Amino acid sequence: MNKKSDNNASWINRLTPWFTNILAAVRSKVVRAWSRAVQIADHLHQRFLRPHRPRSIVKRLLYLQSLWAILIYLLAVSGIWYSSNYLVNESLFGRGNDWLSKLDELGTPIYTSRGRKSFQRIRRLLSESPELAYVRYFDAGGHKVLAQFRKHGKNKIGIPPISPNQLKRLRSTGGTKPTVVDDQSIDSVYRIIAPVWVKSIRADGLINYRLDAPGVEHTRIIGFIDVGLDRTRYLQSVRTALIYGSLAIALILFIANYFGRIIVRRALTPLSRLKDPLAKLALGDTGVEVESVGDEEIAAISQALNTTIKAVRERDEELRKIANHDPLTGLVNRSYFMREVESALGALRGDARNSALLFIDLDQFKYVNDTVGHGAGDRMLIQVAEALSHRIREHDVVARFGGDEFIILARDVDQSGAIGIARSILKRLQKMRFVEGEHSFNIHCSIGITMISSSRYSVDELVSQADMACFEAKRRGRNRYNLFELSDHDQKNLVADVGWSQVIRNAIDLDGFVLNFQPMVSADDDGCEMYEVLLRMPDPEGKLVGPSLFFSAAERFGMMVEIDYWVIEHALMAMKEQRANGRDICLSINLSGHVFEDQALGSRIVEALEANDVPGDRVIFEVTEQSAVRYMDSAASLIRSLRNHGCRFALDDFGTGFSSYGYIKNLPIDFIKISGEFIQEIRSDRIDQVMVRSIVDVARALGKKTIAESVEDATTLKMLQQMGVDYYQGRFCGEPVADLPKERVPLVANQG
Amino acid sequence: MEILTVTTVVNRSTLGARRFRGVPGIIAVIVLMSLSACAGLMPRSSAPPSLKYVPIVYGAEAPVFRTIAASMKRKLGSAATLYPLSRDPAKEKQQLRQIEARNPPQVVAIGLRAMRWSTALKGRQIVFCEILDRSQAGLTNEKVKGVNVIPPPAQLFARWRSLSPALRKVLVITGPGLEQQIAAAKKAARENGIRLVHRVVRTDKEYVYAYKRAASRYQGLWLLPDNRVLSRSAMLAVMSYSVRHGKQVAVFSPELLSLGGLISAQAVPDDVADQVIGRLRAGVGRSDLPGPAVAELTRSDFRINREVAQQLDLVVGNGTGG
Repeated sequence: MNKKSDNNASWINRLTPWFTNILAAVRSKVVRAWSRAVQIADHLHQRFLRPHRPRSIVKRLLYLQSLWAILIYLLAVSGIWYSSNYLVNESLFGRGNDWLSKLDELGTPIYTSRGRKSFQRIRRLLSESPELAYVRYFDAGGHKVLAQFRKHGKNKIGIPPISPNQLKRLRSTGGTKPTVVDDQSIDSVYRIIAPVWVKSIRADGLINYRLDAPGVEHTRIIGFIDVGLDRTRYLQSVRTALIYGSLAIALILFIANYFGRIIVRRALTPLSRLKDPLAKLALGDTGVEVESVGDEEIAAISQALNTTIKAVRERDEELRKIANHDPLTGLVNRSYFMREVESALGALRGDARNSALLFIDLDQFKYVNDTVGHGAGDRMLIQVAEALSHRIREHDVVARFGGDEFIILARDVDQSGAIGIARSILKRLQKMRFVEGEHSFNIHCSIGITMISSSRYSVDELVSQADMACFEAKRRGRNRYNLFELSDHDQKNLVADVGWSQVIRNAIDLDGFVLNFQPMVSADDDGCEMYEVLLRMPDPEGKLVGPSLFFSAAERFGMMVEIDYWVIEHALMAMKEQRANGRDICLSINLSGHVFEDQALGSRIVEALEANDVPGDRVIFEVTEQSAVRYMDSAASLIRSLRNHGCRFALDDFGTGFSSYGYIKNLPIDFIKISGEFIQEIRSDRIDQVMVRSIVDVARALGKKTIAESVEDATTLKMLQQMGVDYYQGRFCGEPVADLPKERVPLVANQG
Repeated sequence: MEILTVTTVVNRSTLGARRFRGVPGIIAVIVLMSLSACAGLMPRSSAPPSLKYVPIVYGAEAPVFRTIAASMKRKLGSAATLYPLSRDPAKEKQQLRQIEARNPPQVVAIGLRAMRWSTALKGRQIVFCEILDRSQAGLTNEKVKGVNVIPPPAQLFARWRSLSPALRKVLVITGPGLEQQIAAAKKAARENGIRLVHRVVRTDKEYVYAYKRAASRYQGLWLLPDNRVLSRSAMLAVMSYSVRHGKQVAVFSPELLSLGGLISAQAVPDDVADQVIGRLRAGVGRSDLPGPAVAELTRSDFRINREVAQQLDLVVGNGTGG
């Protein structure tokens, strides 16, 4: 038994590393092939089926399941293969030993004096056994073949002799007869060799004989038996077992995989159901509702998603409201209104009836603002907005279009209907009174009407038509309506406005604007060298024109903010260039009032400063008194924010607007730019002289510098110097130029 | 296994009367005269010659050696001195010197080892017993003679035949060189109506091979204890084959009954002692030992395996047990 166990162990020891290597190689190849297949499948999947979309968890699990099924299949087939081989070898070993035992007895005559003739008798027996490939009987030396048998067809087998090493092992006599298994030297033959023993009992061993008496026998080897079993028969059985076994396992795994896929899909159905709502949510559709069913975990996810979707939807609605509505009055804003008009224009292509645009401009609103303040003006606007909202029909749209401008889209009306609406609005507003403290104001407005009866005009053109009609109503005496009628002049203006809008758009998009720089010189001629940045634009004929010609169109078509940014960026680029050339200058840049509506203004200016490596204290932003007052809160906030980065601010055209010193006190500005209206006639106008002196005194008291515009001659300059104005700007001090001067512009008066 | 133990004692005259029942009287007379000529084997009616100092040397290999030695001591009294062989060579040498110092004319060697040891005592009569292979003990000569190990075959065949009346043909397989003993056994068998066929083999393997091929022609096998051609595995194979094929096997040791032997026959220690003493007495006052090289035993200790007997449909009666 021990020897057999040793043989088994040695057989297993030989087979195990080989099998392990095979398994490792197969595993490595399978893993690589699978990995590559997954990559290709993934690539194809991503490339053709679901571009730019992540893989589904269901598919991933199904992939993994299939992968496991294949791995299990391979392992099972390997197991069958291994087991079959093991059993075959075990069987061969057992059969070999059986044959050795039988041949040991059958071959006895070969080793007796009766010789080998008797072997002929057993040859017939051997030839009837299909599993025997050959049998050889060796002498005691293990070299001489005493008798042999070869199965028919196996004559060509080259049977090696018993090697010295094998002989050595076979001669080791122990308790059990040793055997040597040699299944390597001959293909398709399982070779097993054993010694032929004879034993005798010691001379006195049989006296008082006991079966279990130890050491009473002598053993002697008289020969060896070499048996070869035909392995091909067994291998055929292995192959058959492997084929049928692997087919059965494949079938089982296929069925298990099929049902596994169904189970996985069912288990993940609640999760899959989340996909469509989430996809809609990802596309911005916050109207989706996630079904809160299924497993506990999925239900929790669904509930969380629903809560999130609800919050997103509410915020979305809030943002949409903010984006589409005027924060002061709650009416829709300009952009939303324009879309509505666009849609009304589109509806005209169908069977919709005509619509009308009513442009409403409050009369004397500036007076209210000037009289009782900006806050009161806002309250009045709110009151008017409410009145307009009550007046319009459900499917009409009313919007706040600008400061005191409102516009109404009246749907499904003809000209008389539109006029009726205008009249009712006039009547309604005439009945209203706005009371602020001790002051009571009548509210009047002018209304321009244009009909939307064809798609001939664009939305912008229609709005311009209504605007022009409103302007005409004001011109005719206010508190009335005016129906737009297209005269040649109006046509020209409209075409001009539309034409300017296209030119401005091109100038913004193609960097068509031109910057000019006008010096602002100081009395003491020290400190930073200052220039005001002036915007010019080539007209359709290529001639540079000033902003007075195109700003109205820019405002009407909502391009002022873009122009402001263009000016800021290009002015800073010019500064960067100058600084690169060693010139340290300060530029004063004008900001329109519209820019204060842009929340991102501050951060964009800071980014531009950093991008051009320009210190903030080299930039002065000019805001008009009217803009600053109109956007008081946002303007003050912006000014403070940018002052933290070193930027300085100037109040432009001071004196032409509200001219309240209180504004100067409250606004964190650095310069007061005295309007040219006070400068141009200062030589002869004593009022202007008093006004300027007063402004300078107040500015000095508040620690602010003054700048005088429109300095046209030396006398004016001298007077301003005597009044204590700090900086001077005008043709006398320096004309606007396209290229910044290479040297500081001197103050002529000083030189003179 | 149920074993029936029977010891058979044969008085030679009685035996002769029984054996030759029905034989013509003249032949019986001649035979009896012939037997009486074997004076050395026959007890003398006169007082036996006294033995003064007989060293009895024996090993400890088998308990029976000690039993035989004790029996002889009991029978010879102070004349016998026991020398159990020591495993220590120095003590053995001392024992040898002690014996030589007393210069005994005769020595008894029980067992092969004692025999080999005793050959060192030159010029003395040596009577050995319990040695199967005399060739291992050295050639017998006029001063070296012994007592057989195997009990009388005639008793075995008689007992076997009484147990198995249908027994006619028995095979015995031995190594070469036992033709004389086998011839005597054949004769004894024939006297009991049994044909004993002898096969000579050289190895245990050949033994098994020969037996398996010949067994079908015989009813039984007499398993003679020839150590040259017997091995444990061969005996197991033979016994196993016999049981499977319903063959009766007469074995030389009760131990083999457990393997399926039907009857075992072994020597009776007292009988061995008697025969040794007889040879010693016969040699007193002579330079040589008279009689055959090996004296036959007169008694047998039979044991019968009742289970096997039952399987073989043999009846073990009281009479059978003797």
